[in-house]
Amino acid sequence: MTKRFWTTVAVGLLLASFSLPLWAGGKQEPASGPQDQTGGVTTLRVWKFGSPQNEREYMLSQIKIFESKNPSIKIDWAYQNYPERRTKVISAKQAGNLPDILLSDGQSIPEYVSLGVIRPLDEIDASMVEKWKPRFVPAGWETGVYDGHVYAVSPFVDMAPMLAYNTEMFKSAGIVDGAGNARPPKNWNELLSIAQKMNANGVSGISLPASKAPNDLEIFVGVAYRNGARWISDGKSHVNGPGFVDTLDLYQKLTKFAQPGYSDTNFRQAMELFFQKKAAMAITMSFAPILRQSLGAPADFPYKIASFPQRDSVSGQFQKANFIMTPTVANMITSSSKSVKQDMAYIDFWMTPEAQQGWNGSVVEGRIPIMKSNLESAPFAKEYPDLAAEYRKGTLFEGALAMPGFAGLSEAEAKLTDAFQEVLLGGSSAKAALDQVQPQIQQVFDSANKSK
Amino acid sequence: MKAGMKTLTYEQQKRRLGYWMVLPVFVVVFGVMVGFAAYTLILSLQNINLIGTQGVHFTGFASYAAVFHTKEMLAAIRNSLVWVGLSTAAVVLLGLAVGSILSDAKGVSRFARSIMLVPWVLPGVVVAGVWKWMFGTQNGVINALLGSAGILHSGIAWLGTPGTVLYAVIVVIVWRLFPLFSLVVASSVQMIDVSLYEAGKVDGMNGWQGFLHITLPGIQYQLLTMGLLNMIWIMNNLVLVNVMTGGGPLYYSETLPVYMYKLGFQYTKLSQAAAVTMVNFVMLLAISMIYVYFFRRAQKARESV
Repeated sequence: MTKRFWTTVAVGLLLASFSLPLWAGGKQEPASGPQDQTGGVTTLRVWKFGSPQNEREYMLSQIKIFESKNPSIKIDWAYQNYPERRTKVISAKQAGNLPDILLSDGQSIPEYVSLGVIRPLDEIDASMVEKWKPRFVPAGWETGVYDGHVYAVSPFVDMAPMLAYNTEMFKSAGIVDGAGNARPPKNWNELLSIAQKMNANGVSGISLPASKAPNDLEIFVGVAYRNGARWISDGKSHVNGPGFVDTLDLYQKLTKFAQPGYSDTNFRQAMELFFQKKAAMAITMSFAPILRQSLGAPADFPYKIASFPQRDSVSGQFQKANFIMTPTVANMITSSSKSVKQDMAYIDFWMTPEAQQGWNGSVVEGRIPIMKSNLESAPFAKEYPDLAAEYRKGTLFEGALAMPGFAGLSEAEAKLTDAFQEVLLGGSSAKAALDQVQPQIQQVFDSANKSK
Repeated sequence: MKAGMKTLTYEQQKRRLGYWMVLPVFVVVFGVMVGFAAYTLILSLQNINLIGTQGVHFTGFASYAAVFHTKEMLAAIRNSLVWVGLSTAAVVLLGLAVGSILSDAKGVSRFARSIMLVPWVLPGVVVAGVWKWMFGTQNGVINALLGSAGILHSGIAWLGTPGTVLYAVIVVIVWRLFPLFSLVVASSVQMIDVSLYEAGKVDGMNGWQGFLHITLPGIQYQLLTMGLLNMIWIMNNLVLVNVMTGGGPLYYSETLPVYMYKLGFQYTKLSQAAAVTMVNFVMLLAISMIYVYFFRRAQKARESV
């Protein structure tokens, strides 16, 4: 064989290797990111945290519509684990690998802002943001506002705290109203007595989510806010105030009638037990129906969801909040995106009634829409007659606050979770544990917010 | 030849060439290992917190003082010692026992060996997820089996009870690591000269004595290497503990890597996370040195007999 022959073979192999991507997967994908504008097509990387399967499918079907309407924009959509959202975002920020758009939760906004992860939408295009605003109920819109700027916009909110109860079990136990329908407990004392009564024959009185998962703590914080508690007010931590202490005391009493292993049961597993008829009640959020869908419980499962009962007299020093709510599909634009015009076009698509209609109950169950067209729609009235009636009366979002968020929240939540678990495991009284954790949370808050 | 230039012998030239050949590897290894360790040390002496830091400066041992003032750190050190001590001991003992059996068994060994690699080749997250489900209080397989066997009347919260959580995770890491240890032991035992056992038998040696005086000395270097490697893997393991328990309930299963991960990636306190990393590194170094010291002492004692 001649030298010329081997040279030809080497060059041929080299050229053939260039065509390998075509053989492997058809056309070559441009690398993601704003710098990947090839042939006039911009690829936007979108990270979505959380969501059950049907919600993801709905969103992907809408993205296809967006792409067909905007052929110059391609969406590179990646699903990420919800509990890991802040960790994932921090790592990506450090590695310089942030996507263009984040679909995350509202209470993470202050931390994302402190870390320089996201930028205000109203600074990118104020007129577009102003165009969106009237389409939403004010309470819902405010969940994406921080420090006077709109950082996020979401089609819905999740609300805490809620109580799911098994209507069949309640009827059998005679816990009914005048018309013979199962009724939820009216206050904390009745909640305790019903939990005790129902805690028999291998069925737990109540399914208590009390793991280290942030959602479990957020539900607890919701119950505490309903009892007049606040994390922080005027720069001072109030986690050892009576609003929190009495709520933690209630949780501690409920452990006697809760499932074994409550400190290792997260919000999802708590609802799984409830839908398996292993618990008569469950402390949850407004997304309980979406869990029913994703856990595969029958559509006619005998249950109802009510707002969590409140203490006979609110003991916290602040005004009680009926609910705390967070937007969990809040669209945010990251600081590293170089295609903000396309990002805004993408979000603008989602801010239309057509794109959001799946959350009126017709496709995705268990979300509380905040776009007026959804709240006024026929499917919403059919799926949620009680909520629709409340919306018409103007009371649906009455007394509802945005889920508390501040820089340092992740660490403060971890510290409060430790106090929470210490009490539930019998290691301390509610007052002693919260007194101990209060200065730590104050320090976290002061240290994270000293530049403000 | 130029004046003043030293003439090298063939041996010297060969040695010099050897140094040049090793240099790239040395630079890479030094850069990756020592460089990163030095960077972590520097980071631990600064005040870097991604949220709220006003300028980066050296703060001496302030990060170390801050982490040592928390309950979590003390719990993490205590748990790490139990975690690494019990797990390594169990992996070595179980690995040695199963490896010795495997080296003898002829018919089943090939099949058993391939099956035994399954825990090792499965991704850590998958292992953690499956075992988390198996240890579930209400819907877990373990409680269901114990219940159907009449051993339990109500489910035990393996991962939710302070007294059981760390041991439950230890079971999982041992399950994951001991098969590889066994396979190394089995192949090492098979390399021992059979005539040594035959000579021992002639002298009236029983099976246990054969294991003690021929097998163990014959595989001691493999044991040392695998024991050390396992200890390092266990000490640095984050995935199993983090996915199965997140360090909970409370801090009852929090190990140093879990605490380090929380500080760095949840609380964004990079300097404190680096301080915990250095503590983890020093502990690992100390344990390794003690391990090597005792092993060598035993080796010398055996040689002097």
